[in-house]
Amino acid sequence: MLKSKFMRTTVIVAAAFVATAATANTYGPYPITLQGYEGDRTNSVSYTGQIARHVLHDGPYSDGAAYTGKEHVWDEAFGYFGTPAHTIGLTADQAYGIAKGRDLAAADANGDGVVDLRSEMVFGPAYYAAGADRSGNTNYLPTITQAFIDGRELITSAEGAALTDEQRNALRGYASTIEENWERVIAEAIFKYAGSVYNDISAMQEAGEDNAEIYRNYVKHWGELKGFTMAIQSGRNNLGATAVEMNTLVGFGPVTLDNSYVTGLDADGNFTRDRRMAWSDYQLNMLKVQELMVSAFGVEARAKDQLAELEALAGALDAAASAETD
Amino acid sequence: MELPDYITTLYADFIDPKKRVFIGYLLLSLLIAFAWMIALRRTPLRESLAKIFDRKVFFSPSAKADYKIFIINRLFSFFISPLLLTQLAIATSIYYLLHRQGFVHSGQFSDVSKPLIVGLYSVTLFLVEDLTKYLVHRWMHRWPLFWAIHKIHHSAETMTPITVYRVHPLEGVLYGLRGTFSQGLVISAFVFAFGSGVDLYTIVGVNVLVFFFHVTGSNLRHSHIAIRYWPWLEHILISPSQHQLHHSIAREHHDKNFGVALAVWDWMFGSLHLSETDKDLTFGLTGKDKEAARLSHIYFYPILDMGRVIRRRLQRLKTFVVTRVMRRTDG
Repeated sequence: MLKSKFMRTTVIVAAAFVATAATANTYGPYPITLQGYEGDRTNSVSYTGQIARHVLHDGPYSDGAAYTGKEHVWDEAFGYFGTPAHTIGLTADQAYGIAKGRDLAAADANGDGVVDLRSEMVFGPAYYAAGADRSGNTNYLPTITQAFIDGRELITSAEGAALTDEQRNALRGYASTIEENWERVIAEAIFKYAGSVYNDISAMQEAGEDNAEIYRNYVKHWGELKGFTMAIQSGRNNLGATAVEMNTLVGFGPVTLDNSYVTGLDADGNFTRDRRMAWSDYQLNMLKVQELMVSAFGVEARAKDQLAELEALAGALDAAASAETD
Repeated sequence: MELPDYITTLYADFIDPKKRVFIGYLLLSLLIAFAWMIALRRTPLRESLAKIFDRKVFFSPSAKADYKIFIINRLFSFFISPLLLTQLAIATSIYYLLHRQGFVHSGQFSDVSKPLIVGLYSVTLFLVEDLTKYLVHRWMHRWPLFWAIHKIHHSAETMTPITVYRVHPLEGVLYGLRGTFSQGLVISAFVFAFGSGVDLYTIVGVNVLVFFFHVTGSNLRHSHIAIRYWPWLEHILISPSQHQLHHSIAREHHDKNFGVALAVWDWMFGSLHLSETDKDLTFGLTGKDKEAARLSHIYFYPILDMGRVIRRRLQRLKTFVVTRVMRRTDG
C-alpha cells in the first residue's frame, strides 16, 4: 500500500516536472496564491507586459472609461504630437502661424471665438513639422496627421473587438509612418540649428569685440541643437554609430569665447574644459552634422543649409563628363 | 536605358546653351562664316554657299565617322557620367579642408560688394577652366600614353562642328575629371572666402565669357573656314584658323596652339603659332596612324597603342634594372 502510494506520488511529481519543463519558456500561467481569494480565476498573472496593456487591450481603459485601452493610447500619442484635429485643412504656414500665436483665426475650427487648447492648438513636434513643411520640400505634418487619422479609424472600425492579424499589421504600418516622419522632423531641426550655429560663429568672427548679442544667440541655438540631438536618441530605435558620431560632433557644450569647451566631468563633479578648438573646426563639425542628417535620415527641408551655396553653384555649371575635345 | 532617354541625349546638346553645338551658336557661326566670305574675302554669294556647305567636307568618310562616333559616345556618356565624381563632391571636400586652415576664416570677405564678387567669380572660373583645358590638352599631346587616345581626335581629315565630339571615351573621362576638379576648386574657394554672395554673370544661363566665346564662332574652330584675327588679337584669343593649324599634318605645326579660348597660355608657355595666309592645310595623321573612318580602329586602336607604350616602358625598366644588377655583380 505504502509502495503504491509512493509510486503514485512519483508519477504525479514526474508528470509535474514534465509539465513544468514544457512551459518553462513562457511567463505563467501561475496558480493563485492569494489567501482568502474566492473568485473563479485560476491564473494569478494579470500583468502581461506593455503590449497587452497598450495595444491588445480592448476593454475599458479604466473603470468607467468610455474608451478602450487601444483607443486611449492612440489618442495619447496624437496628443503628444500636438497638432489640431483639423490639421488636414491647414497649410504649413497656417499651422506654423498658430503655434507662433500669429494666426489664431485659423486655429478656431468651430468658430466659437476661442482656441480650444485640447483640439485646436499647435504644439511642439507638430510646430517643427509645419516649420519644415514651409520649405515646400516636405509634407511631414499632413503625412503624420493622416496616419493618425487612418489608424484611429481602423481601431474604431473594430468596434471594441480584438483586431484581426490583418488589421494589426495595417495599424503597425500607420504607426511606422508616424515614427519615421516624426524622427525626420527632429532630424530637420538638428539640421537647422547646426546651420544656425555655423552662421553665428561666422557672425561672431565678423563682429570682433562687440559680439555679446551674437554670442547669446549662438548659445541659444546650440542649446536647441543639443536638445534635439538628445530627443532623436530617445526614440524606440538605437541609432548606434549615427548617435556616436552626432554626439562627438556636437560635444557636451559649445565652444566658448576663449575656444575652450567642456570635455567631461572630473572626480569632484566639476566640468573639465582644458581643451581648445578653433572656431573653424567647430564650424566644420556643424557641416558634418548637416551631412549626417542627410545621409542618416534623408532630411529634405534643409533649413539654413550651409552646403546649398556649393550645390547651387555646381548645378549652374556644365556638370556631366562631356565627351568633347579640341 | 530606355530608348526615349537615349533619343533625348542625342539632341540634348543642340538645345543646351552651355554646349558649343547649341543651335543658336551654330547659326551664328554660319552667319560669321558668310560675313567672312562675302565682306572680307570678296567671294560671290553662290561661291560662298558652295564653299561653306561643301559636300566633300560634310559627307567625307571622316565626317561620317564623326557623326557615328557622336551617336555611339552618347551611349558611353550615359553610362559613364553617373560613375564619375561630381564637382559638388570635390567642392565639398575642398570646402571642408579650407575649414582646417587658420589664415582665412569662412566668410572673411563677405563684406566685399556683390558685383565685385560676382565679377571675380565669373572671370576666375573662366580663366581656371581655360588654363586647365590648355594644360590637359598639352599633356594629351606630350605624353605618349595620352597621345594614344587623343590621336583619335586628330585622325579627322575634314572638320565640321561635330568633330568636337570625335573623342575616345577614355579621353571623355579625363576631360570630365578635369572639369570636376577645376570647378570644385573655384566654387569651394569662393564660397569659403565670400560667403553667400557668390554668383555667376550669365547670359542664357551661361557664364558671359563662355557665351562670348561661343557667339564669336567657336564652332568654326573645327571647320574649313579659315577665319583669322589680327596678329595682336591672336596673342590673346585663339582664332579658328589657329586651331585648324593645330590639326595640320605639317611638321612645323605640331604641338602648337593647345589653347581653347585664350591664346595667352600658348604665348606664355611657348606653343603659340599665328595663323598663316592662304596656306592650304591638310588635316589628319600620317603613316600607320592614318585612319579617318574605320570605327573599330577608332575605338580599339588606342587601347592597343597604350598597351604598346606600357610594354615599351616596362622593357626599358627591365633593361635598366638588369644592367644595374649586372654592374653590381661585376663590381
